[in-house]
Amino acid sequence: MTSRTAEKTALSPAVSIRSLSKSYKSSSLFNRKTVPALKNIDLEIQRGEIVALVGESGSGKSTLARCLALLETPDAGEVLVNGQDIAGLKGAAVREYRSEVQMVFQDPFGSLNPTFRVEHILERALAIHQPQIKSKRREMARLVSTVGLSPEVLSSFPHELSGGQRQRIAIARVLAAKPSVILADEPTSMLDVSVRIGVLNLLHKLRDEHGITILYVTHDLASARYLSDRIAVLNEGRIVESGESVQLLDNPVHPYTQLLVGAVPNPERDNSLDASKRSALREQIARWSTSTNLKKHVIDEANQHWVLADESEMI
Amino acid sequence: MSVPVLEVQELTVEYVSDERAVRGADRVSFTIHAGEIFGLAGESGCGKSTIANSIMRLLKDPARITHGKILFDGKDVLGMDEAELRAWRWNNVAMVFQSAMNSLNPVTRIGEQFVDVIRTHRGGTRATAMQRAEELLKMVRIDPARLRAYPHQLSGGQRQRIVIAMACALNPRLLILDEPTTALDVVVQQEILEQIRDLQNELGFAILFITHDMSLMLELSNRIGIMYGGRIVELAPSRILHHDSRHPYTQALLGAFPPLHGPKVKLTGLAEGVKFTNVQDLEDHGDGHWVAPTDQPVLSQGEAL
Repeated sequence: MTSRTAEKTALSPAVSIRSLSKSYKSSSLFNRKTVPALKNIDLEIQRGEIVALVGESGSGKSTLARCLALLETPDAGEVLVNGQDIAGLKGAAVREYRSEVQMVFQDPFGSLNPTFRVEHILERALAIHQPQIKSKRREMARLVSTVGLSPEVLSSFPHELSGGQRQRIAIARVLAAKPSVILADEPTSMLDVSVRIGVLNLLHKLRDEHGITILYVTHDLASARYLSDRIAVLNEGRIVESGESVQLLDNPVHPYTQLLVGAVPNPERDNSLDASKRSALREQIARWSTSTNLKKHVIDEANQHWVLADESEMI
Repeated sequence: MSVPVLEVQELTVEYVSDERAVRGADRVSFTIHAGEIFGLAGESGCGKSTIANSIMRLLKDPARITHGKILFDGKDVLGMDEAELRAWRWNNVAMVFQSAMNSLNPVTRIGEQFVDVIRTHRGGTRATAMQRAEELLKMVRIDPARLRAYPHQLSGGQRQRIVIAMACALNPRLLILDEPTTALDVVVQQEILEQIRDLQNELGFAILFITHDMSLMLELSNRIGIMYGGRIVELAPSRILHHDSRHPYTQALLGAFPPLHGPKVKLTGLAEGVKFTNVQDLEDHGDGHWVAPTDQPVLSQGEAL
């Protein structure tokens, strides 16, 4: 991809999603209905930017990442990665795309083949994505040191490693493909708490040192704020609010974002949301999500902060 | 001070196999007073669930309690026989397990399951048991009409609330909550914690709260014990633990949860492969703050991200 489209990619964003929609068909015998998972998503991610996609389970955040990874086919809309439309990629182009966009999964226990040593797992990735490399051993040693492990882990089996080490190996395998975009779907939620921050720091380092663009999918607002430059909040398949991470969480405008921010446990907070406030927010969310009068309101131009709000309730 | 509800002294639990014995809990001591929320925090495998199961006397082979005492209202729990245990469990101490919402019987209506619990332990008629079930459901803000529902007709959060209500059915003196909200979304988690607090205000039980989520723990608990490798490495009132933690492992755990406000600072967490071995007994630092001495350096944090 890099050679063919070099000219047109020079200025284009890493990921550009335009009015993407996707629905799932729930097919019980008598009751066929479609469940919308993504509704008219617009999202642009600049090169070397880290964007966090947050929302509760069922909000559609994983579906969006899976559409980008070609694991799902969208119903409508287009996705451009480095300026190239990914719909209709075939054969070699798909393989090239998969080197370009790699995914880190939630469960490092499930994503590494338990019957092979780490060296085999990394060697396969190198053979497929970077066949030109002659000295695979040296490259593998470099990869594991990039993710903060010593070369001895190469001869271990996945079950001999801790969850954090395994997730690091999964990231090393991703790096073996030399991707320009990493989709990280809840990469720390299965890990022990004390090593989570290390994996987040590693992702941050990959962006700083290799310029890799990262889409970080999570339900954890605090880690989204920690890792990402920008946050997009997903509710029922729509991006309802988006903006620079710190600014967004300090001034959430959409009732759903307010509800999420208010629910994060925080020992220092004294005015936590009470039940009546929460149900008021819930009503507002319901009103806004069924409203036909939704419009993007820019809250703060400099921080790219906007909200998808009901016309009648915004001044 | 009055007699504590629960007193655990030097509790040691070993998982014994043919070749070796692994200590799941090692000389763990703590007390819980009436109406207090005591938290045990630590990562998977640190022994926090082992402690909970020992208190309930639910440990099975190959686990063995090899040393120590558990006193409930001054009464020796380890000395109870099966009949005494049956009478004691649920009446005096109830437990909500990690995936409790899946512990409801899928083929029985919710109401029947309440009736079952109440009549087994307290006897009485079906009607009075049903009435109690309705009260309990109201307390966790679920429509009593849902007593006729089957578990699959309820959401995960509702099921979890029902299990908690069921645990409170017999007014226990102590409620053990083992990761009660791990599988739930944050907003649901917040509601459930609020209801646990309300129930506690109303019924006055003490809580042993087990989780790995430090921010949750700090928000809910009065006192907290941090466990590592089967031992308690630090024990303090939550306010002190939050602002003046002294053990590097506690600091690593606290550092694993980035704040939601203030400037972004780089956190370090616990480095891959760092281990504390041979954790010493706790030393008194005053104001109820106990810390295990360690040679490991205190973590430095605060570098800009």
